[in-house]
Amino acid sequence: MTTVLTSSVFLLCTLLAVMVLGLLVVVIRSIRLLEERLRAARAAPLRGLLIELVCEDDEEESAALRRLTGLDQRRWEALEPTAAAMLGKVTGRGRDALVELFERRGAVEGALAGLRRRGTLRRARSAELIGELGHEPAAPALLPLLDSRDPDLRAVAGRALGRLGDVNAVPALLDRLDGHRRIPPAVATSALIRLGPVALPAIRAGLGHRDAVARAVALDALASLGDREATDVVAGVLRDDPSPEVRVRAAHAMGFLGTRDALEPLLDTVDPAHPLDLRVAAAEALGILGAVRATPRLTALLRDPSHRVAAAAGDALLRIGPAGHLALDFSARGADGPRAAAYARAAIAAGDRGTGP
Amino acid sequence: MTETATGVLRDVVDGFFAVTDTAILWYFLVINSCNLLITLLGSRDVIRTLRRAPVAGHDDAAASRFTPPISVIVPAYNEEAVITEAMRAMLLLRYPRFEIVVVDDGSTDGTLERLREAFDLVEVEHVVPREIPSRGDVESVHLPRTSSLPLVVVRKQNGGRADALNVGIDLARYPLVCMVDADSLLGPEALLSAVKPLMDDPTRTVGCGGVVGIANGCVVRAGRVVEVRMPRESVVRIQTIEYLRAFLLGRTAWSRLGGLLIISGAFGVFRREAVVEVGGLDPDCMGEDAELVLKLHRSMRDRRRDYRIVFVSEPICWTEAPPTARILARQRRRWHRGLTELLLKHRRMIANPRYGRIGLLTLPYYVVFELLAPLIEVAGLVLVPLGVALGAVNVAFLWHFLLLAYGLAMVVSLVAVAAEEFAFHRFTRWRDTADLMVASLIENLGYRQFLAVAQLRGMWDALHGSQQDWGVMTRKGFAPAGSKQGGER
Repeated sequence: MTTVLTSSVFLLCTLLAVMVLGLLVVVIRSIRLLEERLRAARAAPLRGLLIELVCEDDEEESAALRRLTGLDQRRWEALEPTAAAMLGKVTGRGRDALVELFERRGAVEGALAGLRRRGTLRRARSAELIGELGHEPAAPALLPLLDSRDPDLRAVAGRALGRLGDVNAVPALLDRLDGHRRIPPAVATSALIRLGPVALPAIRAGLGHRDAVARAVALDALASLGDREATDVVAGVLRDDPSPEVRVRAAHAMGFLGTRDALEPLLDTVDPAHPLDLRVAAAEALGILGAVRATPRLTALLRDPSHRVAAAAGDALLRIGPAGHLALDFSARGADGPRAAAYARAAIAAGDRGTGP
Repeated sequence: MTETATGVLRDVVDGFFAVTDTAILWYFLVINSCNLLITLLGSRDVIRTLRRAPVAGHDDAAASRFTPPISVIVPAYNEEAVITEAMRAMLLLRYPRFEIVVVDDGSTDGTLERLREAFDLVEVEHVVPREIPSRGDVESVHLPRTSSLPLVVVRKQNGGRADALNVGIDLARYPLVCMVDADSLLGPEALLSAVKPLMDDPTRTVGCGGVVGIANGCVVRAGRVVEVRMPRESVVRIQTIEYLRAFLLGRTAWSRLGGLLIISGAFGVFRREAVVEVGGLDPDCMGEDAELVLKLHRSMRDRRRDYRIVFVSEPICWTEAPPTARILARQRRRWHRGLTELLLKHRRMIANPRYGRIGLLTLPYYVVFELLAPLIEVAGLVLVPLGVALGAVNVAFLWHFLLLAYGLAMVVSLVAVAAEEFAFHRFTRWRDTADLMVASLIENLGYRQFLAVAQLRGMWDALHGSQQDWGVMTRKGFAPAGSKQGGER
């Protein structure tokens, strides 16, 4: 009797679960489709106004701005995702007009309030919007988000800080590359680069940071911003930094900085006494530097026992230009032995088809 | 005396059936409960990830010079029907810097010729680094004659899929490698999504798997899935729910638990350096993709490295599923053989605390609930009805068995359907959603049992070391919208 009862209860529960889940799917789908249709119906007639706002001349732009500012909240909520998506895609006057529209609609105040809300997603969206709007005074409100428990929120805050242009964010961005609550290095690098040349002194100070990832990020940012004044400091990092990865980044940075002073340190670094990754990076950097004086050394490296070094030397010679091409031609004909000839021919083949470095 | 002996025999038989049937019953209760937990955990993670996709920062990554360049490795064997369209679609992927390395593994059809015609390829000098050992020698390397398309086509002697991948990884120029099947259709953001975890945590993350969906029935234009639809064939419809439950939500959950074991061969991104360190893929192992992941786990744990191997749940990759029961059975036989070989090869890791969650959680789970599942399933199908027929167990017990083995499994599948509708809602038509729900119910009525037999044969193949059969997947190819599907391959 007990067994039959248990079986019946099991059967009933299973049937009930199947029905509830089936119903749940139908309800979820129906609500979503309804919402999508309503939103689309509200937004469709207004998209033209958005296009007018970003594309037309002063008079029509002003008219569109007035009409969009006067929209009721429901219709604005339907249109806002499209407008927010456009913010990241347009530049110049069109972007300025969009930013003005968001400001008039009270989006900045709303986003600042959103940063203090409980939901992670809401806070992330608010931070993203503040970044897109480039509202610099909001930087202090974003800084605490770098300490959030949520990694996605920290990353969004990092990206937004880069867009706001407040150089005071540099130490915070570099500090958050270490510890448990980190931000992705790529986010920090992009943010520092977005801050622009005005942030160079603070980024340079980052080369002395205790954390190796922070030093590496600072090097990438300096290289990208073309901070030629930092060449000597970067050379010091290339020579003395305790982290092999940081030295690799320093080698690449030397190449991108492109000063004459970068040549000798890089030529020293391709020496077999150094770690393999560093030698490869130095060979690549010599190519990026494009110094003709590096040609003999790079040609010699085509014979290197390491595939990576020899291949990097071939690519670098390609980058150097006519002098490098000439050296590759000689080597390809066997002037430096069969190994160098093979790497030279492979480099020439890639270069001829534009698939080189 | 005879009556006593019969009575004893009867008691033994009754006892045997009572014990084994009860054990089978408990097994199904535990396996389905575990699957339910995994599905719920995976659903939670998928919903969370997809809701956050708009703030994932893909636009920044797509424009950044610091997004690491990647080599997409495409092994190809007799893929002339799809290779050109697949490469055209891959060359349009949204990613700042990448190359595609197609490795023609000694195809006997016109794979190389099709590529040569389509991209005006010319043979060039090459150097093979030999950082990873390979069996089939590289015969030639080809590049586009004049254009700067980032396409490299390598022709090598036949050595199997794993060997082709090893050669591709060996020749890859970039620090990340993405292994993709030639018939995989990638979403435009596929590389950005899969590389994100490796960019976010560059010092620890060594590999990342991506969602593989079933492309049968979908509308495909220019090598891209533009509308997701349920396939027409029942056998593929059921695979759709299987992919959703086990391959998407299951792997998402294992990734969250830090115990991801399988990254599909159809799409996976790895750090080249890490793959080289473990010697590449094992050409002798049928499940070479999972074996690579396990080898990475083992290598990292042995060297006490802090590392992560993860799975991203954003829609990334679409592949053609076996369209007939015969081909499906062959595929699952191979997969289960691969799993058996994999677990035998790395048996030292199983329940070994040295290997952390992989050793103590994932591998024991795979042994008990994946490897042995078909064995227990078939045993249950034979022993429970037999026990009822012999009067050793009662009909109510049979009901319990059916409800726990199949009723609960249906509930798990429906949870997966609800998660798909809430998170992805990829199916635009009501009838597709209805088909998905029906498929989740009928999966347990014949399909599972059919697969269990095929899987048992795979296990038998592995244990007896019979000759490896890579199988021939008869594919229909992807046809553009509005036309009939392409010719068979």
